[in-house]
Amino acid sequence: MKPVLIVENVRKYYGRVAAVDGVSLTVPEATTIGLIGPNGAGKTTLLDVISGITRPDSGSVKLAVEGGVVEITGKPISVITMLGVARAFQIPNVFDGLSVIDNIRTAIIASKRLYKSISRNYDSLTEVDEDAKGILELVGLYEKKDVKASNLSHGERKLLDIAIALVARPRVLLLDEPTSGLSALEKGRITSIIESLKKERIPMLIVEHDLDVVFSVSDRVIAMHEGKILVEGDPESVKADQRLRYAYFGE
Amino acid sequence: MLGIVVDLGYVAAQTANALFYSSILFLIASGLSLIFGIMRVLNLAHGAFYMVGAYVMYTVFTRLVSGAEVGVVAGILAAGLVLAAIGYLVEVGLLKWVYSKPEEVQLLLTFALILVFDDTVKIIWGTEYKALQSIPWGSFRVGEYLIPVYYIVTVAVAVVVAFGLWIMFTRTITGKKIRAAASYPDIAAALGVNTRILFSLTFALGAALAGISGAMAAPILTAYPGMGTEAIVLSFAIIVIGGMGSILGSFIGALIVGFSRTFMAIVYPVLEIALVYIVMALILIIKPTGLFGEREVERR
Amino acid sequence: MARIMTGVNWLIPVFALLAVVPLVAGPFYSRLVATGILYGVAAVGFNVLFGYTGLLSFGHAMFWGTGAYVVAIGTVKLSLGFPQSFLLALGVVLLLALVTGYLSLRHTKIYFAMLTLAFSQLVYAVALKWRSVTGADEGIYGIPRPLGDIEDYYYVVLVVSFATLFLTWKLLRSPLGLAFRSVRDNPYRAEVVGYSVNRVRLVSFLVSGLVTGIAGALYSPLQSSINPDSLYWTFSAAIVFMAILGGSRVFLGPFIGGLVYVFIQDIAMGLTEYWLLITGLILGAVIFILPSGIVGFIVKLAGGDEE
Repeated sequence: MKPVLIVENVRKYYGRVAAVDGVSLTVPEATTIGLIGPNGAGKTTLLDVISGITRPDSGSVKLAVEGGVVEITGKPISVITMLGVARAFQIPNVFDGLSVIDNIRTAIIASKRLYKSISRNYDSLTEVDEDAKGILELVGLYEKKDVKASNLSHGERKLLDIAIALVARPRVLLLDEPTSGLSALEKGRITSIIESLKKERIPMLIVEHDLDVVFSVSDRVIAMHEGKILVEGDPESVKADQRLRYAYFGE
Repeated sequence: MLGIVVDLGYVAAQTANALFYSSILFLIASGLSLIFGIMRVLNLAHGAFYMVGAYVMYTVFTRLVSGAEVGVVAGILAAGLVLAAIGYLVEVGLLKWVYSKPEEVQLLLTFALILVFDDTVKIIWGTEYKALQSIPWGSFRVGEYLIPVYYIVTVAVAVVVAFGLWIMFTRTITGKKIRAAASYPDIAAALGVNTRILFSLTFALGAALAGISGAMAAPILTAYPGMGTEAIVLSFAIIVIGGMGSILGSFIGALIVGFSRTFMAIVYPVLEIALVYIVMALILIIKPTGLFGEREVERR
Repeated sequence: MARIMTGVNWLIPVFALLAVVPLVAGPFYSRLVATGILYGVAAVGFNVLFGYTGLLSFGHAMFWGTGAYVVAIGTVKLSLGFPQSFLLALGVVLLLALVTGYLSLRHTKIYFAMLTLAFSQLVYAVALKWRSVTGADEGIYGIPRPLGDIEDYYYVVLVVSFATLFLTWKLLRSPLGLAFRSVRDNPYRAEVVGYSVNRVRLVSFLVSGLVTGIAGALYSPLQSSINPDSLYWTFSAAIVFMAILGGSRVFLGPFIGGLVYVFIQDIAMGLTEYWLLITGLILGAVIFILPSGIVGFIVKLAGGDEE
């Protein structure tokens, strides 16, 4: 399958510690990749490098767009986002002072560059509100659309964060621990959202600690350990690999 | 300028002026920098403390103590004590309630203090400029220019204070405790360091420095309402140039501001004040931590 | 509820109320209220940056003072008409905001505040020393007032001010205004959803400076004189005070704050020559008793939401 995101030999050091130590991976179209590994394996740093938040010391990240492949390493965060890399965060990263629907509206306005239409009211853009409604219904927050984000529960904020990432119909979606800190019920909801995104053929790179979730939603699984890729393959083979137990438990 | 034969006496007199002025500025700015470095509070009322110090000197010098030398020494000590007390009361009574609030609240509260102090000073001392009748210790002659010995005394006080602060924060247990409390307030509190008292003492010490500065300025620059508003904004320039929280930075910053103002006033008066702010803006743009700032000081 | 309390609907009754002032009050109070209106517009301008974009400027006096000075220089020194001088003032203020905004926005928080302070003091230093153009510490006198009488010029102030307020409100309600608030709440997330945060901030800085500059440009003909005090840092602090006094999370809060500030001054001056003391005490009290400002407090009392 055609690759959408290509990470080539990325290295990132903090002082003398290698957070990411020569990682290469590709995310093909319509594929969900699960990224696992113990704490400190370098998973979040890798996502930060891909989304432009952290600059790698070496290596490159490329994205397939219409008419070719562009290198996105070193580009500003907002440019990488506009090229189609969307990101949801481990700790919900939303606009606290805005209502739920305004959180979605602002993301749509940014992605469609509607901020230039200053003669219109931001809440009377019908095309924006139709999109916003669809996205909020998908994550199940439409009933709460007028609630201020700061008044939501942790799980709801997590859902809102993912919803914000979805507005642009991303070329590739990076999810950082989508189920961390959630109840079993909320985890189920996240899993079904991921399933529906898979149906829409959106390529995803998911960092996740809950291995049940990872092995059930991923087409491929990559296990990282101490900044390097340890095991890579389909869920069953990775699950069976002894090196994975070693990485987690040192056995 | 180039055509004029350099008059050494004139240069010496202007250098003495600049050194005196720099010393006064250092004494105010070091207190401001100390308070910001330890407590992360930008105290706009610091200039008002400086002003009150000048008035305390005026009263002690003219009313309470006879004799110029004794009067000046008594005035400096009195100003330091009075302002330490005022600083302590302000910290305990007002500031400690706003540490957790956004910075504009702290700025506004200390701005409110300026208004209160400015008018209180007018109520007590009236609105006219208060000049001391004489400058103690006389003066000496360089060429055809007279340089007050008092300038030398002021410079000496500034150097002693700078050295004392440096010793205090690098060589004593209390100083180390204060710096630790500033860097890791939660850990310090957990280890039983009483940050509450350290903050109060730091603020009192900073205020005392401003008071001493005002007291030392009064014999030359007189005392008048509103003298603090210019002093505070120059102090901001100094601590930004030198690096917020750095004593050495305040020292160098004060020299830069003192000398550039004194000599710009002669060479090109149009830029006398502007130059200070040009330097301030340039430093902020190029190296926001200032010349001697240790680390990025982003608040909370 | 929120929209009714704080929205554009309130511009009309407030406008109507203020339009009556010159009919029932003499020149003294007309001048006073006009000053309050202009302080209010200046504070609304400040608040575009502060309340809506999350950046504390400690140098907004530079836009107010520059607007005031350019109109004074245009009418007195260049013998231009008021409208030409006014437009010239807006141009100069925009240019100033572009340069100072571009440079100040390299930083946020306290360094941003310090940079705006440095730039405004720089402008102050220029006004204080450039005698041939600015009249140095004496400033500029005899600035002609359009329409002559205070009571007539009052309506120029009122109409231009409310047109400015209306347009500012429209802008803050536009998608761009939502971008401002997004950057205020979470600049990092704003960047990740695709805003160029620095550009959004710069646009906000331009709007903010321009609105405050418009108020200043109307101010010097009202007083018929201007001096460097209008550029001094204490006036920047006063603008911050007005915004907080009225309430920075409500559109009209800073406007009401400006009006109330002028009346606090006037009443305190009538009571005692030590009016700064009274102002300082009120300011201190507001911080502790009404942290969300007068209008913010009323909105909360009425059960409305801010913004």
